[in-house]
Amino acid sequence: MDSLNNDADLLQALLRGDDSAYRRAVRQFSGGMLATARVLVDASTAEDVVQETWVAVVDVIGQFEQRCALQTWLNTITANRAKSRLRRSWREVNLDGLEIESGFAQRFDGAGSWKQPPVAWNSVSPDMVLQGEELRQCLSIHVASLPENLRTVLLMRDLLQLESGQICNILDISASNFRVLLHRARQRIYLMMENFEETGEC
Amino acid sequence: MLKCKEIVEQTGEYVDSEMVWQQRLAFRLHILMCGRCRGFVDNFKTMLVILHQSRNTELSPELIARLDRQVSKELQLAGKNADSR
Repeated sequence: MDSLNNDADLLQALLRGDDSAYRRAVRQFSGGMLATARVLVDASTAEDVVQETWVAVVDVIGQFEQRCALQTWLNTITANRAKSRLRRSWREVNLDGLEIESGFAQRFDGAGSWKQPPVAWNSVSPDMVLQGEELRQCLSIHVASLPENLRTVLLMRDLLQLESGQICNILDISASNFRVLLHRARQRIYLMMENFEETGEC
Repeated sequence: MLKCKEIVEQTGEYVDSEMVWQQRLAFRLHILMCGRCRGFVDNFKTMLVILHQSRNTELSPELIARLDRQVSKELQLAGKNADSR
């Protein structure tokens, strides 16, 4: 029987410094770590950051307090290391609050009720993403075309599922700024998916 | 009573559970009674599932080999340090 069939068993083996457990963990978690690093730095630097992180993890694995999943903990360390490679600093964006995107604004009447209500999505579904390339490609084009600050926040929160507080720490932005950026990014992606649902085109 | 437009503005905080209970209650009350906004929130949740699924976590065999090598080296070093203590 595989003795490393869950995170808890794997963690125990990692704490013992078991080489084969590390090999398994490298395969299981490095993808998420690489994706995390790539949000902040270029592809080749991201690979270096993941390597550095694993080397560091050998020494600090005993500090993992299991308050979150091992993947999340590893992603957070990776993000912090990637950030230290980041030359440019983040500026706080101008805050207009959580106002809605123009694409949404026109869909409400003066009283704030739907004039053009949303329709339930059928073709836009998780299954569709797994089965077909089109929606996935369309999504990646739209995510890539977001302004950098919106894209970074969206990738960290919704693709990598880092905690909001961690993202604010890593990017040095306030919680309110984070919410505005995430809000705008999500609204744009929503409108893209809705258009895909209605027209079948990107 | 919240307006539909406010539901669109607040859905992110709702799905991220970043609302105080009064806000959450008001939000839930609205979507309970408003099918249009309920549809919006459902679509929004679908979007988040799709976004999470679309993360690219593919690793090249070269990178895996490099990570294995570095980790083994570090484990040996850590082992030696532990032995010498």
